[in-house]
Amino acid sequence: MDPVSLLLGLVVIVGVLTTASRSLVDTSSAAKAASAGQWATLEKIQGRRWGQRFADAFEGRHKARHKQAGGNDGDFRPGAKAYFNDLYHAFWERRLEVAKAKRDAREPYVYDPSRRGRYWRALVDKVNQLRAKVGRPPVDKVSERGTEGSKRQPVSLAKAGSAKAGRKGSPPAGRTAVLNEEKTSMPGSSAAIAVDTEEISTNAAMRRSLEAAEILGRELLDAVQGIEAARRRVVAAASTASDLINAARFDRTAVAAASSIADEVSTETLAEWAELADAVIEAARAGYQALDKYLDAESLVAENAVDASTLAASSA
Amino acid sequence: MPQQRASSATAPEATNEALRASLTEVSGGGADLTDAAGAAERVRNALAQMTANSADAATLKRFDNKATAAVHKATELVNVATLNRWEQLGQNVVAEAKAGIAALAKYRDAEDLVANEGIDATVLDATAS
Repeated sequence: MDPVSLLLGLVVIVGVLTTASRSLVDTSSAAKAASAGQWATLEKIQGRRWGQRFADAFEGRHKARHKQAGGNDGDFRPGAKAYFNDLYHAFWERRLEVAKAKRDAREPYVYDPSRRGRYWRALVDKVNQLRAKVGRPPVDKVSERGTEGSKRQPVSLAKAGSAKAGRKGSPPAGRTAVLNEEKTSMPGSSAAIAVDTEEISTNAAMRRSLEAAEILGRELLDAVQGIEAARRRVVAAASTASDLINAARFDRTAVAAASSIADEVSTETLAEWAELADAVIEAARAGYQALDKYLDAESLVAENAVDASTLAASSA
Repeated sequence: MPQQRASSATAPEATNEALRASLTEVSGGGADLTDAAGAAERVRNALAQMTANSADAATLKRFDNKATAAVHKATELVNVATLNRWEQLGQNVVAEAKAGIAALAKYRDAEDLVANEGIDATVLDATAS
């Protein structure tokens, strides 16, 4: 056999064996750590895998940004004009974000349409005008250079599932892609939440938003159940500690700590929050189900180029 | 994150070590509580933003009545309160458990000595404050 082919074959076999053995070792270590309760070890193993996934996701997003910027595989730079346009656009996006953040910070939020001032309306109009003109949100590459948009990056609504399957790559013209990317990990829940607040001007967009709200409601329910599980764990351990301090005389500070903890975590449960999450899920589902009857009409309008205002008569 | 890392011990002997183990378990549970509450609050916040955006849209344009009502209901529901208090509670639990563990640490050597040298454990009582 050709020695070069033999050598290449060996390299491939060694690579496969190394990867497979590493995977086996990881799995075995994870299983051992889990059964022994060595959570720090387990988290390190999982962290390595998640790190790899994160790196893959980052690479994909990086490519998408370049594509979004109108570049190709060889030259991803959008040019000076696009850069300054994006600076300008990002400035107004940021203004809108700040306004939204201020609005959201008002607690408790009470829905009141009359509270929308002229500034808010003008801001929304300005950003919508820019979005319609450019047809996409500001390029993230610009944001990374320290522009106004560097703190927030436009993201896609990953959780909307099939409803947004067709929105990969460059977003459609006029799309609102603002605000907030927050990642979170919790017991019983998926690892990431990516939320964008799309401008809702059609039934389809409203349906997507309500579907996403239902998904987030389920996430909230999972998270609340995670809190309740942690609370029960603390209650059980604090109860054991209370039994101990009742049985013998321990250091006063330790006794006070154990007593105080037992009091703090035993007073209430997360049942109300679980009910609230259920109610949100139900409301969101009821909302998008109410929109389903317009689905065919909306499709027909789009396919046959009928005036969309004809839908208005059928709503409500 | 595992929801239940270990079950609490059943009827352990009343020693400093057992109390330390219980407080360590409490501290772990408190850390879980903090993490879970923080995560839940981020979800709630994201949900609040999304529903507020839908409510804005329903203000600007006329959608189906039921859908509009559902949007407003969801908006009101998620803005009733935050979960920050539970996050703070988790932090308090961790801090108190750590204080308890630290208070027990000063007996560690004496406890080891008692075990290693076969000394009567009641001698420790004199050192307890």
